[in-house]
Amino acid sequence: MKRKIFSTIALVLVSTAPLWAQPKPSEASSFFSNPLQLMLGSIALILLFVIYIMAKVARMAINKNMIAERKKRMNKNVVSAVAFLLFSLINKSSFAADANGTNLNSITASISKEALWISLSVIIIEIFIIAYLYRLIRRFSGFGEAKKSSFDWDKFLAKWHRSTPVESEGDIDLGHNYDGIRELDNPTPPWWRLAFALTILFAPVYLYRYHVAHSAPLQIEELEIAIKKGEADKKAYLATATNAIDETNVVLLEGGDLASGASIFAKNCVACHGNNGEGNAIGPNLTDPNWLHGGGIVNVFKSVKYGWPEKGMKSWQDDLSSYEMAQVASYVTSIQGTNPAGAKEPQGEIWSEEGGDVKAVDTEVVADSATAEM
Amino acid sequence: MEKQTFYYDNKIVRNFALATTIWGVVGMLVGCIIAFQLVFPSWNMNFAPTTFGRMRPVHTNAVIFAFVGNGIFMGVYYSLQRLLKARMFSDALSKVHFWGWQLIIVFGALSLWMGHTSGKEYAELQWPIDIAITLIWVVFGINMMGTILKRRERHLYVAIWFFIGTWVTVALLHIVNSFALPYSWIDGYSWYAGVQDALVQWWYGHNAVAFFLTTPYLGLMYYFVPKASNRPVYSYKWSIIHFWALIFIYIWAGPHHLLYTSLPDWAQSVGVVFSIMLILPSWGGMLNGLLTLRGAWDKVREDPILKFMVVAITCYGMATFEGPMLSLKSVNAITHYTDWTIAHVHVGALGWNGFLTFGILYWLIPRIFRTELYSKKLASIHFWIGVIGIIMYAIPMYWAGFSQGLMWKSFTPEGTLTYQFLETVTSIVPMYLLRAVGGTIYLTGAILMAFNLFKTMQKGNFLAEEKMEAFPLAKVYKKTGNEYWHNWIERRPMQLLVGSLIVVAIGGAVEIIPTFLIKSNVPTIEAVKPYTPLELQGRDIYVREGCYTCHSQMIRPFRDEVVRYGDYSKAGEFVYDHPFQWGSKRTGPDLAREGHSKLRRPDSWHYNHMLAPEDISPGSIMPPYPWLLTDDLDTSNTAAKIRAMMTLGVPYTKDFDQVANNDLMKQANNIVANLKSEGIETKPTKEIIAVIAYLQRLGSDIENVDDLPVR
Repeated sequence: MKRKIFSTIALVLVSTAPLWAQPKPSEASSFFSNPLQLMLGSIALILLFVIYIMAKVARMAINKNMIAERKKRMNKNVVSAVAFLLFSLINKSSFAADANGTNLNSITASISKEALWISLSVIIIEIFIIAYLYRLIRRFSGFGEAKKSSFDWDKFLAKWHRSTPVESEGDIDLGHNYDGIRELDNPTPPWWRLAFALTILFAPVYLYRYHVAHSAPLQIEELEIAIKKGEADKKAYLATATNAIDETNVVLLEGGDLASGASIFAKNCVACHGNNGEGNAIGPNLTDPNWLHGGGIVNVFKSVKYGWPEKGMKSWQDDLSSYEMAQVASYVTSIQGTNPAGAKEPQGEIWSEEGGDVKAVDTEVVADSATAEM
Repeated sequence: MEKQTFYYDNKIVRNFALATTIWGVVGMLVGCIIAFQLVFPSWNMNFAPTTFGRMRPVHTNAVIFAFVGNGIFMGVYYSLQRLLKARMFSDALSKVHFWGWQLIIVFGALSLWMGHTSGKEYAELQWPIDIAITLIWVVFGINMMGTILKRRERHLYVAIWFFIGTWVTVALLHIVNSFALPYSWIDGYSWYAGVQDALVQWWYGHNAVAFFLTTPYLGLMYYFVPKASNRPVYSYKWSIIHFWALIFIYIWAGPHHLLYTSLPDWAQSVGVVFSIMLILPSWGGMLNGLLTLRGAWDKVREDPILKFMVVAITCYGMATFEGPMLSLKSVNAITHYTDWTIAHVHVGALGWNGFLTFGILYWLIPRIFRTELYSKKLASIHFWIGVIGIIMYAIPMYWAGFSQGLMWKSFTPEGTLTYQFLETVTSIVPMYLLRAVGGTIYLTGAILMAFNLFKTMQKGNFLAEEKMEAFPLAKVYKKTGNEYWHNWIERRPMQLLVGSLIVVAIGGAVEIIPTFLIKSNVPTIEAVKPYTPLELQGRDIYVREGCYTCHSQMIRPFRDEVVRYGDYSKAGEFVYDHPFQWGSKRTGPDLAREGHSKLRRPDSWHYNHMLAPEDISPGSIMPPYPWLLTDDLDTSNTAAKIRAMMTLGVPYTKDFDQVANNDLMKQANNIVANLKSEGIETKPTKEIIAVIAYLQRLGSDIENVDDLPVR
């Protein structure tokens, strides 16, 4: 009998295994970096642990109280439970497959949808198992027998609270009677009084530290400390890494970097420059040879980095790393001449890599040098 | 002396019970809708009244003032009569109170849907409704104190201390915070501006939680838990100390809603230390309630009513421990402005208020209908559904809050922000979905309860007038033996009322008065000028649409916020903001510097974005506002608005109200011309023009100021 139940549970767990295994190895890293999936994963694990404990308890309970008649009924139950669980399993997986096509995807964009649905299904199945085990335990264990604790909680709490035990509460009845409500004269627990005193003591200590001794930073000082630390970290990073890209050394990137650039573009740029860089009412066409602020990787990088705030192009240097700016600038440079549908009319000068325009553009970017050249 | 015969009025109790149930379901339903709106923006239905910004105040006001409010009155009218052995003071006042409150709810909801809002959270209702609330509250007070004065029980039980403390403090909070200057028969501007408005508002907001959602419910707990479990109150002394400590300390803690803002540091620190002090007085209430159940735990296992009450008290304990923790600056830095706050309030609202109300309803309805509950099993199912609902609501929201808080603060090693704001939103949308499901589960439970109670009423036999006999009080009171010192005030309701008023007034006065009187609390900035008439109209639309329910206007002095939004906000920037719009959560980004060149976007961006946010920011869950593009701006009240602002001390030049509309049209024409150059044809009379003007003004005043004050 017990074997049957155990094998049932094992079977159900094994049947969920393909779901667990489904995320491809390549997705593994993103699986654990996503907070939602991490949470669902931990819930699933916790529930699994609960199942393990409950299964053990159920086994003990059944060992003790197995009766022939119930045994028969159990068999039926096990079969129906397995069928139900398998059915719900199939149901869930097919739902997961359907969901791929729906627009639910857009709301879970940053997460692998399969992983989300799998985790949810596993959790739901686990909850069913727990509910089932709970019923098993209830059925096979008399509640009275479970109460065999060597530790007397009531006695401990009474001591801890300095309270009079329930049996002799008549001694401390204050004789009040408000619509039948009586009141006892238990003292406030000593631990409560002590803790209250400590939280009151917290106040002068806190106020002294912040406003008299100034040994803890107030919010503006905190900000200064954070900015200083941030700058130091950045300096240290740039000193050791080869990541320091700026307009003096930026080069056109290729391959995978272009794909990354495209996704940065899709996230941040399409609102004003169109899905394919064709431009719209707000921003210019990025695919034609005409440029307002100069084409080519260096100029595009500069436009991304510093922006043209008076024309509505924001500076991206606080939002994108210099490597990301190089990626998106390379992507923009790469879509030259793609002629997308709905392209906006040309704006600005025609720009070529060899042409003298580079200089003219430079003077626009750095006004000082322009004056110097004139 | 002869025994007197009198009757308890059960009809008023039944009426409030019905209202509690109905408004509870309605309020929670609106809550579920707005929860789904955050996942599926199409649920906003492109219609102003059903858009999130207007629906959310309807939800919060409905559950606080309609559901919990009626729940308070139900419990008070039931317990007060029995604790005092007296019928309510006046049947007429009871009726006025009941119908007045229901009318306030209906008109309140309608006015919020129509966009009449003061723009101050949980105090959104405008001045005519505020006055009505004050009047009805006074009616309630007279009815309660009148009953107390003609009582047949010498001493007041602890529940009644809480009722009196509640009444006097809510009156004080409501009147002080709702002070407004009307500019039309329904709308007005908050009397206070900027930092002061924020302080008064959160002194109110925090204590609305304390004295509307907590103290009256503690009173109800002290009556209904001993009644339902038939156990004596664990400790009388504990109830005395935690009552006075609670009402004294609570009132100081308001500034913890404004940590890391432009509020002066000293006020913030006062808020922090009093929040920590609050833990044990709150826990005194929780433990005194739970320990009252000593010796009745076997009943708890069987009785769904006691189950509801136990979980309610436990949730109260959890929420009142969590609150002080959130008041610690290091925790607040991560959790504030995120959904953590939403999770926190819902543990209190769904767990404490909701479950205690459910328990009371299940206990009370069968009694006044002289029957058994229709289905105990259904009540048990409701209990478990409710618990699952709370868990499914709270856990995803905690997770969402925590992850968003950390994502905001995350930097790459190169010193740039790791995540765009939008990414931090799209990554928690799945959590919003789980939360919406959790809320729906909870609502399902409430509907089951409504059905169960309805069936109980149907099979029962309502006892409107409950007969009772008691001796009247002797003219002269003779002390009996050993008396506890606190008995003195328990015989003197008026002294108790005045005493509570004094106790709560101290904290409020110490915090609020200095911020008004000491100039250094708000250093002025020369460059900050009053809004132009068009910007003022745009600001009023911003308030009307409830933009503050998702967007803050307060850049806190954190490295990530300074990098993301620009220089942190200074107190002097808000001196003309009636009302302040700092907000309390960021479902969308902060807008304090939206018009500053660091963030400034083209006018056409705002135009297109209001029309269809998702087209401009893919994945955005902001609702569309198409009516702003088609509706004409009402300029007939411009002069009145300017005059009201001048009365409040905003320095417009003399007689500016006369030419305000000329100025407005001039600025509107400029924006229209600008939009045209960006390829958009529109008219200067449209509301969108005013909104663009306001958004482009935000944060632009200090653009070229070198000597900004530090605070």
